[in-house]
Amino acid sequence: MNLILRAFEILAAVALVVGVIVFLFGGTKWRSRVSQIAFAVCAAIVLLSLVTILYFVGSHSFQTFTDQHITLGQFFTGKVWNPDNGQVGAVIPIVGTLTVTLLAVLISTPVSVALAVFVTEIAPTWARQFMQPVLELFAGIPSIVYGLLGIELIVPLVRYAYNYLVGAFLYAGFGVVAAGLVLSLMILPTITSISIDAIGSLPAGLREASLALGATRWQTIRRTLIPAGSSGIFTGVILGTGRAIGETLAVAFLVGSNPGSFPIQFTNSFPYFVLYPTSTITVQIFQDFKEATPGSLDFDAVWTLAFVLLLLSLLLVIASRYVASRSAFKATNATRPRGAAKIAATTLPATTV
Amino acid sequence: MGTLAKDVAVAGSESRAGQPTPDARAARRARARLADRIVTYTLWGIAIALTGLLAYFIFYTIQQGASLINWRFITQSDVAGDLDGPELFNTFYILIFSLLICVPLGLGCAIYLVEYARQGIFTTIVRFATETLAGVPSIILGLFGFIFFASSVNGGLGFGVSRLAGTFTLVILNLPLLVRVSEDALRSVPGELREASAALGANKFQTVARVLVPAAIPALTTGVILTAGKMIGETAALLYPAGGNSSPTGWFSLNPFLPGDTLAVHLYELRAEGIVPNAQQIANSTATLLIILLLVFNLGLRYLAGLLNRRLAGASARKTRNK
Repeated sequence: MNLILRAFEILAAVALVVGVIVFLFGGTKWRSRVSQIAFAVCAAIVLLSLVTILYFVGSHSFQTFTDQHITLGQFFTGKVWNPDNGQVGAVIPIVGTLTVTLLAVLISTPVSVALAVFVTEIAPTWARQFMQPVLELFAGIPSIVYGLLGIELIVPLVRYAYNYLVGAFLYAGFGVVAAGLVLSLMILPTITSISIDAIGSLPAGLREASLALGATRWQTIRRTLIPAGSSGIFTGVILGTGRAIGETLAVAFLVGSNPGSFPIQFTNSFPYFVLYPTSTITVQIFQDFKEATPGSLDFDAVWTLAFVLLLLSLLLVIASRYVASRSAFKATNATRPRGAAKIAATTLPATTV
Repeated sequence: MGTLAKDVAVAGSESRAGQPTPDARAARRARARLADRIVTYTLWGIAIALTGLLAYFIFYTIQQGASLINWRFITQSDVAGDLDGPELFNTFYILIFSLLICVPLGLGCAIYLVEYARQGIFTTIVRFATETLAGVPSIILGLFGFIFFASSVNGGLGFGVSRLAGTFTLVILNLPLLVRVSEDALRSVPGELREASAALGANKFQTVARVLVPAAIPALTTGVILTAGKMIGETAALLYPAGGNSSPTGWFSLNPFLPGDTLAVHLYELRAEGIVPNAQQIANSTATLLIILLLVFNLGLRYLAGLLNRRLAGASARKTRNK
């Protein structure tokens, strides 16, 4: 492996030197050719990064099943996550991830669509220009700061609400509810900005026709614009889900980091349901990697979790491309440089922290 | 329509011809107007509430940590780990280095996709790879950065837990973003510029280098500044490749092989394993620094860049101003 890398390095260095020389001395025609190759190489580097990541994550993750002799069934149905003892049942982290993501998307989508409708239809120009930096700031707050804010503001809220409902101090506040609330705030800018683009790029004729038929503004929005922009909104929701799934720091602060229990347990007597701190895939990876030594079950199990996460993200990306391709609206190829497109470009899942 | 009208005819609201009476129509319209009013107020309320929430978050964070912030805090380092000088330096170091690598790469890829690519398998694959890379969670990139750049076992490049490894990890993290931003910027250049350049006899490269890229710079700078603002808060991708500690003495150097924790990573370390007695307070102050940096980038620099663009690009910038 090292030999291949060496050879590649030497080849790349030689090509670079040759390219620079030709570029500087070759005249416009050669310059044009060399630069075309250079640009293509840039594109190839992007491709190469992805391939390398897939290779490393994949190869390490399979070692759990080959070297460590864990079966697929053990991994995906086992409830105990204790790699030091040889038990790697990933059900609780997976359930945790799905629950938190579902909560976040359910809370965030209506609010995002409402905000998008506000910005495109109802807000006067000054309000529209004001909301743009607001959305950017929401998107730009580091995930760890969201985690801190969650601990100091949201967790006490959840704790108070649950204990008030139940009448006794049963729950500290850490768990999927707090994490889901904060996560919904974090994916709000993503869904909102893509929805703004979706609704904003609908032809004006739609609005005008609806208004000409005597509809009020809300009727126009509800019956015409939102359905027409629904595939764009749906693309935004999928991308928001992708971001929520990969979110690490904020969730780590809020969800309890406890792979020992499900988020909610039901009892036969009052209070019938008790919330517990739990864990998610990202949190588990984040915690376990610290003490993992290469070659141990700890290490390989973390990579398998990472691979599951990667697969989920990949599925979501494919789903978003599919949805986007079935509509005239394309979220990734905004042809007009609108302000919302910039927010969309910078809040898409690449910015998970 | 006729039978349906008869089926739903409510006594008095439908005339014999199956159409709603003028009274029913007026009532329906009044209801619709009321609904419109209620929804308008609700949406305004949501927007105001969210803005208020953002303001509250920002002020709360700043207020919690403001007590420790002074010039010494942000430029010096202390053996006890009380001060944030090294972390601030590392943050900017990693930021600038990764932008230096990332922007040309992203721009090059975007130029290829916009100007040179033909409808072929390579282009489709590259686009798919960009989008997929954008969807990779940052913790996985952090693990990958550690395994590939920092460690030397199993084919890793062996830079050690260092700022260099952190830089490269951030490059991979932000590459798809910058490709997208550059693509948007390039596509926003009006086609007439390309045609004019070709009419003057320029070949593809001359058009790209001398006309398109300079014309795209205004849009590009905004995107780069926003991306930089995101990079500042990056934790999960940097914790493992770049480390969680910096040495209290040698940190103010350009040596890329030193470990370097950034503000965000330091914040995590303080909260998770704070051993100094006032770790909480330092953590709050670090968070305050982060928020201040965020405000500086998102609001301040963007505003400045907007001013600069309007001065430099003149008429074309005014035409393609962001909505």
